[in-house]
This record gives sequence, C-alpha cells and structure tokens, in this order.
Amino acid sequence: MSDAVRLPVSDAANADTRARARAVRGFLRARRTRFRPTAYQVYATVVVGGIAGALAGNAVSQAIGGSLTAHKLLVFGPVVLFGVLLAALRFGTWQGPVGFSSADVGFLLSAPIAIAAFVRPKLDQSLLLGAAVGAAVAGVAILLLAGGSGSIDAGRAVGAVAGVTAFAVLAVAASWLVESSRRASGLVRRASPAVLVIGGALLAISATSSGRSVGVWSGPWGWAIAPLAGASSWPVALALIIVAAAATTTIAVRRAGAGGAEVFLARAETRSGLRASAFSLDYRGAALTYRSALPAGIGLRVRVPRPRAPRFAVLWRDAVGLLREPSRLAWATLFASAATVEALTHPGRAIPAGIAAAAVYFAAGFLCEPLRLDVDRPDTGALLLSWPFARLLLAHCALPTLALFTVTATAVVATVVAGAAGAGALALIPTVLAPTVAVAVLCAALSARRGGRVDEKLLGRLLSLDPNNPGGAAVLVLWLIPWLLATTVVVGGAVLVIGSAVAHHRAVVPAALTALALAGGACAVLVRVARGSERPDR
Amino acid sequence: MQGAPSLAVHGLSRRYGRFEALRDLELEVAPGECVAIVGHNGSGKTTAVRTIAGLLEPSAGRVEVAGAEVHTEPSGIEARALMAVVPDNPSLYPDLTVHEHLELVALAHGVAGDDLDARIDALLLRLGLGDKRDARPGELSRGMRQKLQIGCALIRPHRLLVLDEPVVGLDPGSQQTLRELLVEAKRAGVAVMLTTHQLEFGRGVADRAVVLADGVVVADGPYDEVVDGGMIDGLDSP
Repeated sequence: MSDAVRLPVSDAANADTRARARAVRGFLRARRTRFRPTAYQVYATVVVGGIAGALAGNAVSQAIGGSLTAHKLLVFGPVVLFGVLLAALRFGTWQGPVGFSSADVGFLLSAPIAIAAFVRPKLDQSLLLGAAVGAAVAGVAILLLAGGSGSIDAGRAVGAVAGVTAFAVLAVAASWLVESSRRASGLVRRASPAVLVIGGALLAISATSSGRSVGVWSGPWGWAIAPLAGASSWPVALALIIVAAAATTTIAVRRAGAGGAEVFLARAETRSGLRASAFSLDYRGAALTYRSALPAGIGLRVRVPRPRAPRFAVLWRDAVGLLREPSRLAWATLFASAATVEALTHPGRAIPAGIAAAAVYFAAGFLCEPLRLDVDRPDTGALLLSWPFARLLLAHCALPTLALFTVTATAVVATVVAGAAGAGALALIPTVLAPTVAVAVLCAALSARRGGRVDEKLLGRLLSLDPNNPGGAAVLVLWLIPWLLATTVVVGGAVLVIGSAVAHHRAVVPAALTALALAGGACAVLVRVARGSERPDR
Repeated sequence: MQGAPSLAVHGLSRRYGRFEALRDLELEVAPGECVAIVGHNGSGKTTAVRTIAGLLEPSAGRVEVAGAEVHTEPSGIEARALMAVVPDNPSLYPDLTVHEHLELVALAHGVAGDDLDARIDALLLRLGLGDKRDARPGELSRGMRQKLQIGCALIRPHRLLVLDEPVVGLDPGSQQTLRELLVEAKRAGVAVMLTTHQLEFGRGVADRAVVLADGVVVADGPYDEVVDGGMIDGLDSP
C-alpha cells in the first residue's frame, strides 16, 4: 500500500468539471469542419433515396402480402422486435450507441473531467435517435395497417407509436448497458445462438392460434407490438413496455460513467480498422477486424484423436477448429435450418427459394473458416502441409459438407414431423440434398480462395472511373458475389423445380431428377474449377 | 509528505483473454526520478504504459498517482489531473490546427491566463513547430505529430509524465530537445516514466531501468548498470 499523500481536490474544481466538459464540446463544435452538401449531392441523394425507398417499400409490401394485418403483426411482430433487440445487444458488444474517436480518448477522456460528462450527451442523442426511428417505424406500420383490412382508432394509434418508440429507447439503453460492461458483452456473445433458437421457438408458438397471446406477453418485444396489433388488454402491455423502457433508461443513464477509456479506445480502433478495410475493399480484413473486436466466445478444449492417415489431416484440423469455435457451427446450423424450413414451407416460390439458397451459402461460409485462414497465411499452410492448393481446398470442403448435410437432413425430418411439410419431403435426403449442399460448400470455398480482397487491377480500374458512373459499382458487386449468385441460381433453381412440382401437384420424380441433374452437374463443374485452383500469392 | 512516490503501481496484471500480457508489476517512481521501461517487442511495455495511463483496465492490482487511484472515479479524475501521457501512436483531430490542439488541452485541463497564447507559441518554438502553428495533422510528418503530442503533454501542469516510445519518428535534433525537456521536468520535481527501444536515448535522462520480459520484471536497477550489464541484448541503438 502506498503511503503517498492523497492530494486535496477542491469542491470548486469538482463542480467545475461539467462546465469544462461543456466548454470543450463547444470548442470542438466551433472548429470542426461541417459537411455542407452541394446542390448536386442533395439532388442525387433525393433521387437515389426515392428510387431505393420505392423499391424497399415495394419489397416490404410484397413480403407482407400487400398490406399489414393484425394477424401478421401478432405472428411476426414479436419475433421481429425480438431480433431487433438481439441485434442492438450484439451491436453493443463491439460498438454500441456511444462512440468516441481515438483523438477523443486521448484528449477528452484523459482530461480531469468525469467521463460521464462526455458520455451523457452522446447517450442522450442515441436515445433520442432511437425514439425518432421507433416513432417513424410505428407511423409506417400504422399507414400499412390502415391501407389493409385493419382500421386503427386514434387512441390505439397513439398507443402504437408510444409502444414502438418505448421499445426502441429500451433497445438503445440496453445496447449501452452491454457496451459499458465487459461481462455483459461476453454474456451476449456466448448466448446469442441460444437466444436465436428461442426466437425461432417464439415464431413457431406465435404461428399457432393458441400461441399468439404467448408472443404478445412474452416480453418487451410483445408488449411493444400489442397496441399496434390490437391485442386484448393492449393498454396493460403498453404500460409494461413504458415501465420497462423507463427502468432500463434510468439504469443506462446512471451507468454513464461506467464505460472506461478502454471501452471507447477499443471501439475507435475497430472503427479505424473497418474504415481502412473498406477503403481498400478488403472485406476479409473487415471481417477479421470485426471478429477481433468481439469478446471471446465459448471454446471447447476437447482433444480430438490425431488420425493415422495423412489424408485425414485437414479433416482433423477442421474438426479441431470447429470445437475451438463452436459458435461457427451454431450459426451455420441456424442459417441452414432456417433455409430448409423456408424452402419446404414455401414450395414453388422463387424468392423464398433464393433466400434459402443464399442462407445455405452463408452457412457454408461459416464452416469454411479454416480454409480462409490457410488463404490468409499461405506460407503457413504450405509449411505445415505441402499439398497442392487444389487438394487442400477440396479437403477443407469435406467437414462443412458433412456438417451441412446432417443439419439440413435433420431440419427436413423435423419439418415433416412438425407437420409443416409432407412425408414426401423425406425423399429429398438420400437424393437431392447431398449435391445441393455440396454446391453451396464448393461455392463458399471457391469464394474463400480469393482471400477477401478485390483484385488490385480491378480496383485500379474502378478507381479511375467516374464516381458518378453506376457501372463501376455494378462491376464491383458482380466481382464480389459471383459465388453467391452461382449458389442462388443452382441451389435455388433445384429447390424451385421440386417445389413447383409439389405446389402445382405435378409429378415430383421428373422434377427431382431435373434438380438432381442440375445440382450434380454444377457439382462436377465446381470440382473441376477447384482442381484448377492455385495457391494465392500473398 | 516528502519522498512519497508520484507513481505507485501495486500487483498490476493485465490479461487479454487467456494471454497474460503483464503479471504482478510492482513499481514506484519518486518525484524528480525518471524510470525507463525497456524490453523486446511483446514484452508488455505498451500494456504497462496504457494500463498505468488508465487507457486499459487492469485484471488485478492498482495504480496510484500521488495517492489518487487511476482506475476508479472520482479519484481517477484527480489522477488524470496529475498525469500527462504521450501515447505511442499519435491520435490527433484532423480538423484542428497545431495551435488549437494545445488550446484544447489547456481548456480541458483548466489552464488559463492571458499569457496562454504566448506560452503555446514558446513551446511550439522549442519543439521546432513554430512555423507549423496553423497546420493541420494531415500536413505534418510522423515526427512532427509526435512532437505535437509531446507539446500537448507539456502545456498542462503535471506531476507525472508518461511517454510510450517518445523518440519514434524524431530526428536526432528533436531527440536532443526532448532529452533536455525531460531533464528540465525532472529538475522541476516531475516524475517521468518512459518506454523505449533506443537505449542510448535513456542515458543521461533515465535514473533507473526496469526490464520487462513476457510481462514480468526481470531486472530493475540503475539505468547504466542494467543497460551495460547485458540484460537487454538485442534492443536497437540509435
């Protein structure tokens, strides 16, 4: 214990810190360069925003079947808000609603001023922004509801706006509570896959006529939606969400001084890393920066017996990797299961088939991480395993294919058992499932092969283009997503062919054979492409 | 109390996940004393400095600046009032000029007075930034940005000066200026703690050297004895 004398700090000095914080903020505000858009920038934003808004509105309208109904709100509303809350909590684990630049950390948070004096205005701004977004979303929902069969009286409309606004404020406050606590961040990270499963269960329960009230009364996500959906006793639900939001906000405001400089410095460095990756279109770098910013997840220290045959070395390495980071398997399971259920319950519809195919691709992407690590450090891979790169790439596909096949087959069985699909769907398992899963894995692996960076020559050409020319952006998008597109076309096509036969009561066997030929042929082509792959020169 | 340490570090540890970057660091720096923390890359120097400066939370232990604990509020406010830090990587506001950075520090630390502008200009001249008064960070070299960070630390009153790799990017002339400034600070009773790879820089400035290896103190003694004693082989000389 130090025997150093504690320096007296006068009350006046303590009382002065808030005023000094205000003065510092005013100093920065007065000197910062403000962005002043040109008339052309305003015009371009309005035009692009208008087109994007119209497209988004059309997509939303189609997704909800032309209009919003109280029934759809009761089934999907609680789950959507549940997902929003989880996303807000996850956002708090690596960024959150209060952010400072590295310079702010060095100059402001290192000054003898209470950190809360700088955090509080930013937190207040985020809470206000959350409230504004919540009110706007509620307004749009009311308009959509009024445009459909559900009329809404003034009292309920006010309640609906208040409910969704209170929920948005609660989500922002909860996000700050996660941001300001390392323990809470770790907990959210580890619990996320399980929470998503709970969300899925909530959706399943809400879809049944007897379970609708469960969704509404299951928590803040349900209370917030109750006035909008016109659930019975909605004023009680409204009171609950307002009390919950007020309590969470009060705790959040009291913890304004809880986030130390470390919290903000780490987040500022993450933002800098992401910005640097974005400028060089290095999406692998961005992904690694994002992952390094997340708190540690669960890792199993189970020892996997080493195989005797060298040909199983990569399979063994991938299995060890999956055990060390089981969250990858959890996310892949979630995506693949959701894709399977989506495809089986919406047979013959192109958009659900495409979404399902894309989801399987992303599930495969989670499982192909060890291949990406080999691509990131080709020298290490070459040193440890002197295989030709093509063989390494194909070997890395074995475990993801096996895992995805198991997950999707289980999801097919579960969907049939739950009565959401006919027993005939079981025939997919020994026939079409394996090649379609293999296509998704091969496409994800071939995408990983590029190492997540835009080709330098292409980047140079794009940078030399007129920034207002949309052609450059289109080329870039096509360069970035060819393997996602390939999966969507092949897997989505196979799903659509079989689904159409089922939906229109046509013979399924020819459709299944067509799908099998499509997926099998694509598989053969992809394996051939993979065999021609060379170790990336990095 | 005379002789009480300006910096007292007790049992300081810091982990990153399972990796222990700093283990059980004990350190005291008296007023007017300069301690150099030396060690190879990854030895835990920057983690030590960042934790002492309050930029990282310790996994265990505590840091006191003249008796004020750094990692708890409100004593952390007192500690920050007494400690000036020069980080290894200068983070500056891209839209403020050199002069405005120093003004901001003065404002945030309650430094006032009619002669503030004159003091800022004098410090900038001393640091060789006199002609860069109205330049923004984007117009400065790495070394100039480093000098601006040093200026930001020196413009405000402090009892402890913490510098992480302060000579990186500095030309020999600027290194000499910094050495003189540190000697003056010591004479004025300021405790100085710095990390460096450049062992020659510490001669004539640092009284003690603390050698870190894998997050643990492996040597602590008079600077010249430790440096010349071969305990830190392989570190760069200028």
